[in-house]
Amino acid sequence: MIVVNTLSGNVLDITGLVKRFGKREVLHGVTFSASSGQVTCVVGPNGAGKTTTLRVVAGIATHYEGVVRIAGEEPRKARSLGMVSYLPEEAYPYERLTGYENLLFYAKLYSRDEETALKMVERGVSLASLGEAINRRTSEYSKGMKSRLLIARTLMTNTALSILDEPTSGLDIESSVRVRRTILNASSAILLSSHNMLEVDYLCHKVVLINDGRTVIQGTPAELKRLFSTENMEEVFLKASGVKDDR
Amino acid sequence: MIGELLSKEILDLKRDRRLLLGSILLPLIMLPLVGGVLLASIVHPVVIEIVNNNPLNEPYVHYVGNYISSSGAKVVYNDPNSTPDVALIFPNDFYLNVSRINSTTYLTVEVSVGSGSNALSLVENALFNLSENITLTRIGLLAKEAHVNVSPDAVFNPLGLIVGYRSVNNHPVSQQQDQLFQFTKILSLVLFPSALPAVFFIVEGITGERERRTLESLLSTPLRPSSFIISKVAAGSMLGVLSSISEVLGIVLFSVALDVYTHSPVTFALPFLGVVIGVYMETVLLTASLSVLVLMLLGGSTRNAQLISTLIFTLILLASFSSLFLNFGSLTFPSSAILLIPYVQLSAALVDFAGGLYINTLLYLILTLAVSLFLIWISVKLLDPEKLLFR
Repeated sequence: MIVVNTLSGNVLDITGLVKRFGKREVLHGVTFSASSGQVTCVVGPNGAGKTTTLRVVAGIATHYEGVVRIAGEEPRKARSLGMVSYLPEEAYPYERLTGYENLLFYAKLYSRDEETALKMVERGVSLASLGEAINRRTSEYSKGMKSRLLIARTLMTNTALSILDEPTSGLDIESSVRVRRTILNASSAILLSSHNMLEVDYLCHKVVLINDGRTVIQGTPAELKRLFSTENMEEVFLKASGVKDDR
Repeated sequence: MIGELLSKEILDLKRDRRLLLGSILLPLIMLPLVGGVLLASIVHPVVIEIVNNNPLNEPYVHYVGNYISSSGAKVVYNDPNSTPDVALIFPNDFYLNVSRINSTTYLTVEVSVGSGSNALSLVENALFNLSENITLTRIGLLAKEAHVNVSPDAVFNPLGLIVGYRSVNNHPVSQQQDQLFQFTKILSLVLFPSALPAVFFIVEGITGERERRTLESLLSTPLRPSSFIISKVAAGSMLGVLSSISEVLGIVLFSVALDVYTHSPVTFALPFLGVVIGVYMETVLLTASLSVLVLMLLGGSTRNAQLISTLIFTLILLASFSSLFLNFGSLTFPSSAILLIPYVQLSAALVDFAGGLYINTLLYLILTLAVSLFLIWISVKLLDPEKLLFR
């Protein structure tokens, strides 16, 4: 496994990313970067191209144009080298395995060294904070517990970049708060997509707004709020997306 | 990484008791079940009623009755409450006509609609036997009248028949080997379908991961395409090993049942059971590799999985029926081209082994194994996460 956590500067560079599904072009030149040790949030309306962008970075969507580099490597190569961990928007753990077994299975995919894998699991158990439930089958878990386990599974691997696609979507307030704390405790660079602007304001060092397959604007939450003369990210989002606020 | 994914699959399989039970039980019961239908006709014999209103007919009636009951059928006499498969009616003047040297006597046979065809055959055989005896008696009488010293049996049966058995490659074989050959055809009918649970496990191992939303995460890990495909096929093949052992136990069970009910057991040596396991395992491997290839080409949706199931089921039927109806040794071009289909090769491997063509069996097994490995190799080359996940 290659751990590139000590890199300084950008861990992710995307320039002119174009993605097509058949003849339909869904990304028309997305460009942004993410720095190591920071949480970068990709925001945008439904259908803007957030998930597609994340899938390209994760090495899942393999046919694209443009330049995408994770610590200098092309996504598919970065994936095969264990430099990326990814949690899709709709993901579930293996239900016949316990929480611990789920973590161990993934840890072994990222490290052939037994000792390193067990350390990952130890870290995963700590991040998930599921107590004794970690030894129960995940079919018995609530949605919040599953989500914490999956986020822990993604972050325990200590990869150069962890990608989380709407990790708090559908969770109650308590579970969302726990998940956010877990993300803040992570040591790797995080690329995250979210619809929750409060969450974005709380978690993200950098915000990238994508709309209609294009990068509209990017900067720190403070910079963006200053730019649009507002005090919250929700208004930044509405103004930058060109959506009228009827309130 | 194959080890890690394989361990997860085995753990998953161990906890899926229904699938595990189905994979063991289906091969175990298929042959005894299908064979049981055949045995049922022996355990529950056909019923023949003999109707006779003239006591003078009785020697003939009892002759026919004894012949039929010795063939395994149940015989009832003058019982209006019985529901026979066939009723044989001796006319009042039967005795009179039979005893005349120059007359033909008629009996009436009433066949119950839907009765087994062997019921009528039994009666016809019994009457043929009786007719032969009457003919021999008449020849004896005529010879006596003519003062000629002849053997009535030689006059009536100028031809004799000695039955021997040969393998497809013209080597003499025993009657037991012929029995094994026939048995293998029945076995082929049940062997290929009973490999289905293992095959479904492999297909479900990929499409199920997609449906349960675990595949996208898995394919984003450093797992290599070869590890992904080989571990899925290996996990299914391990289930196939369990099923093939059950298949062999099923054969032994059926053989024991055959011995108990018919006193004519099918005898087979260990190499035959080895070939059964080999053919079974190769069926699973071939089907797994074919299914995985189709998934890689079309994408991992449930609809594609159903398409694969239909395709596999058709090929399995082809294998089963080709072994049942074809004599592989006598096929000529173009009908011999059917042997190019790997499933038919597996069928031929089994049947040819029973027929003593051991080299053919080995060749077919090697050829099918090579095809399976080739399909796996292509699947590894074609694996595209995007296609597998989103098509």
